Amino acid sequence: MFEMALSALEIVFDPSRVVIVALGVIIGLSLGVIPGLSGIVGLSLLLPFTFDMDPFTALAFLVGLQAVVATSDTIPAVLFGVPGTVGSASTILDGHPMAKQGLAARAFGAAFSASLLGGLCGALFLALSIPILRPFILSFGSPELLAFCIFGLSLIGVLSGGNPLKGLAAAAVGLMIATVGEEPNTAIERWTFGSLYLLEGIPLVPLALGLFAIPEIAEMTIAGKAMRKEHGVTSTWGQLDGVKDTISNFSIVLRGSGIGSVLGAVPGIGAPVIPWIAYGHAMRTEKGASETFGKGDVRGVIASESSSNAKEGGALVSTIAFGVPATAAMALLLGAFLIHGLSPGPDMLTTRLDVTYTLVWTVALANVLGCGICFIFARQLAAIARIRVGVLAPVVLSIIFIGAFQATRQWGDIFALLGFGLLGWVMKRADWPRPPLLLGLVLGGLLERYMFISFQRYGADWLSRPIVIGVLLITAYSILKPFITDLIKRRRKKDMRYVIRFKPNSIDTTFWFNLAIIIFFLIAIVGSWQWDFGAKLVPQVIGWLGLFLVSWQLAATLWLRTESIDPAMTHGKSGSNIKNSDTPSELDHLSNSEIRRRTTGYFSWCLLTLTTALLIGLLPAILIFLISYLRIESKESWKMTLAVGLGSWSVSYLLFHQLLRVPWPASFIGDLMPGLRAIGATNLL
Amino acid sequence: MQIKKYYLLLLFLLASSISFSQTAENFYAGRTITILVGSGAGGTTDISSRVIAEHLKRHIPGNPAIIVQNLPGGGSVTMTNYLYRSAPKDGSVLGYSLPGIITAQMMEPRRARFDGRKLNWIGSALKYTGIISVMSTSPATTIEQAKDTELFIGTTGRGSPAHQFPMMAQALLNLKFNIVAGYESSNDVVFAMERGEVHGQSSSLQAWAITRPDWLADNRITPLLYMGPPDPLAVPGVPYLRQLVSSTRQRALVDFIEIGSQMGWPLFAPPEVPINRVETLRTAFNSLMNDPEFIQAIGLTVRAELQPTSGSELTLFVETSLDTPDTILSEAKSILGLDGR
Repeated sequence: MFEMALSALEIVFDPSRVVIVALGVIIGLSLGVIPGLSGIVGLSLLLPFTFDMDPFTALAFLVGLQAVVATSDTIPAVLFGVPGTVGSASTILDGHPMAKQGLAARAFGAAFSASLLGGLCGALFLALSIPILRPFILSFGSPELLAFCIFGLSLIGVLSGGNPLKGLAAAAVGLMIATVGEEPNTAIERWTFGSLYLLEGIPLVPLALGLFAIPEIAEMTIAGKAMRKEHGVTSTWGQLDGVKDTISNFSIVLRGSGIGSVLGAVPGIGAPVIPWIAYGHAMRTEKGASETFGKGDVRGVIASESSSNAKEGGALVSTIAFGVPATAAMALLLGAFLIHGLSPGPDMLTTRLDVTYTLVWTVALANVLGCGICFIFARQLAAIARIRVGVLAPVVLSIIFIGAFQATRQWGDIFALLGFGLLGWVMKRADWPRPPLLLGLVLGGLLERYMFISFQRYGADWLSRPIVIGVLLITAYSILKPFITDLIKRRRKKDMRYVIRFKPNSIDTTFWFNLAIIIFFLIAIVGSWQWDFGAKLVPQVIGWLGLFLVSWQLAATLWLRTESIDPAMTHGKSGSNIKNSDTPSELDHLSNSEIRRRTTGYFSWCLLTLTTALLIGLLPAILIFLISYLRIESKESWKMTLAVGLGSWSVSYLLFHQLLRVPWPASFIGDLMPGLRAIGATNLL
Repeated sequence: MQIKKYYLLLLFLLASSISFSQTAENFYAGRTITILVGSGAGGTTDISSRVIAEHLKRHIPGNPAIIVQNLPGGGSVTMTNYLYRSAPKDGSVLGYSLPGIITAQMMEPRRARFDGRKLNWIGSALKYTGIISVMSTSPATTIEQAKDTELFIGTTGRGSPAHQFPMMAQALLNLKFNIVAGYESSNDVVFAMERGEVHGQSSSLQAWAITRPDWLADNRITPLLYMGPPDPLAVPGVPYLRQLVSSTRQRALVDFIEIGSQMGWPLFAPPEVPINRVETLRTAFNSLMNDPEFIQAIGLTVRAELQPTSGSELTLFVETSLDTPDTILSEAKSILGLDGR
């Protein structure tokens, strides 16, 4: 086996292959940076070009590409709070606040070095686990996956920071959204309103971009100022500070990459969940983390990033050994294997071990190259944050629009983006944590699937399986532990008491938002009342639970106060005012009416762009948006407007239209004259 | 705005007058044909479309470039709706769908806003033979035993052909299947079989040849029943659903459930495409079916032998299928548990 590994090393480090891997890495990095694009796009685009390569080179190229997407998706997450791929959503929580504090380069340094180490650990895991792979993965059945989902849900408490009630309610909203689409057992269409778009559920990409990116850009434009300048003079190589952070927190890297590679290898857990689990784990176990995570703690970045790169090695494992792709990108890679005449399965661990080890080395090499490239440019990347908001915001926004559209390439993607964008903004203003909603959505579908399969197949016996028992015990412990500590603390704080008194001044945005969520759950309960048992079980349970949580929350804001018994300290905080783990607001210097005015302005621009797009097509509408926003809203000179507007639009045009050949959705004008779509110059309609 | 519209209109008229006066060869020379694939990337549908795109261009006069775009959703219905309504009707955009596209039109007329009779069928290279296979260690390994012994069959969901075949077989042959729906993909069901969570699933023999060639070779799986066109790779002696039913009504139900598998993965053009271009494409497709390089590529990538159907045969088949009597259609829906549609 060791000889195999060495001869594979020779194959990978053949100079021509190193060049090919480097090419794959550069493409992979570029895809990760652009929100909405992921390795899948690159793999499907480049697959035909590998037909003429030898299998080793072809797979090295594709695996190299895929391995580093999770490295560069950090860049927009840190700079703008925009997830480059869904996997980097948890990096935003601490990475973006760091950028706001002028520590972008440091965040990058930490993220890239953690990615590198994570990726290498993933490769190591891939290499070491080969002998024990099959029994390990085979021990994960639907009941085990169900237990893992329940464990994942228990992280919601952690991710909601100071306010578990709001966090749980937000998660319930996410779980409810996850029920949209055709229910597999009954074929009942839940909340699809007859639309094909909703039949397969709400896709993750527009939802994640809407929930996180749209509100961050909103805040940026509303605040009207660029992020803070880089700190001090010492930061010529600010990223080195980040590397130091990673090294001094090496145990987080180890645990993060362990979580990433092991869970990544298990088919059915799903890539988007994994960084959250690592993040939640670090938050729970690190000293003082519950106070500082979410406010720019570098340890949060390290935990997410190490796990997200490690998962690629893990995911490759199950693809190779079982032909069961753990992620969508791996499904494509599986296709590439077949095209090159390789059958994933036991053979890959015995007679074709050379191929497997080639892949291990490729993952390692790609991570070194990818992180190296990102690391060198970290300072230049960090400087992007200093560009004027008036110029930066429209460019980023236009990329988000086009990126969100890559999810299913239907108008629904843009509607979902803006709908969830608005929801995200209101949640941010009303101080509701957004991560639990995303986690609820990601876990909701899995939870329902594995629950039905487990019960139908094993009845209640699924609970008696050893791994299930183990995971559920860990879950119970981690849920109960904070309560117990809380109880002890509260006993110490005997001088505080709860006072029930109506507070008329608490009827504000938060109040109205809570009320809207109550109505949302009521509609869900009533709407699912008539369905067959299989289809309505989850919506009903979640609906009632959510209703209870939000009502309690509402009642608490209206009536409940904690007061100190000592009259000198009576100006106590109201029960729900503790800051949650979400990214903090930057708008304190503006009056409420000014914020309202600017918010309306921002969302009007979004809506206007959508309307124009429906009329004349997405890409032309983006051009109009860029030019008019830069000129009218940002009051840039014509020279600047045209340079930035045309420049960034041309990049989108070349990339999405010429290179990726995106089939644009039918606009009004295009439908009026379908012939226009046949002409090269007008086929954007 | 007004001026722009006129300008566009003029451009449109100009373009369409040019295109109508061209011969097919002139039309395709230097042009790019787009094949819209009604599935996501990866998987038999996507991969076979890419192999076809790669080789078909040699057979079209003018040697156009051919590119593939994925437009997944609703079992290819999203793509076909788009092709039918919004794609240019000049032969530069074609559709490639999952086998069930005509069944979708019959079962979900509300969603499928296209008419199979008006689409221009170009041909299909592969057919789909559905085979219910179980692990050889299962409590029942023949169709007779499955009438008394419960078997867990894993599927993705009620809407999928892999669910519908066992459902129909169960109803027609009184089998004791316990159908566990909700797996993410058929690969996940294979995995569930391997760890003993379910006993079997319905898929194609080619799918087994791709995912678990060793299982076939070592007889770790046993085929119980098959439907659709006889598979060239089929194991001899496996019961055939069509031969196990007797009444006219039952045969009609088998006909219905087999529509998708007989059509296979069809390539088609939108309505109103000039007939000479449709003919050019059909001829090219037929000659592709005899291209040894293509046959080899298909064998290598999707592990299937060619079972070609020409455009005219497809057209005829679609018309017959769409004439299925309403009584049979509604009975099939009720057996499959899809009456709600």
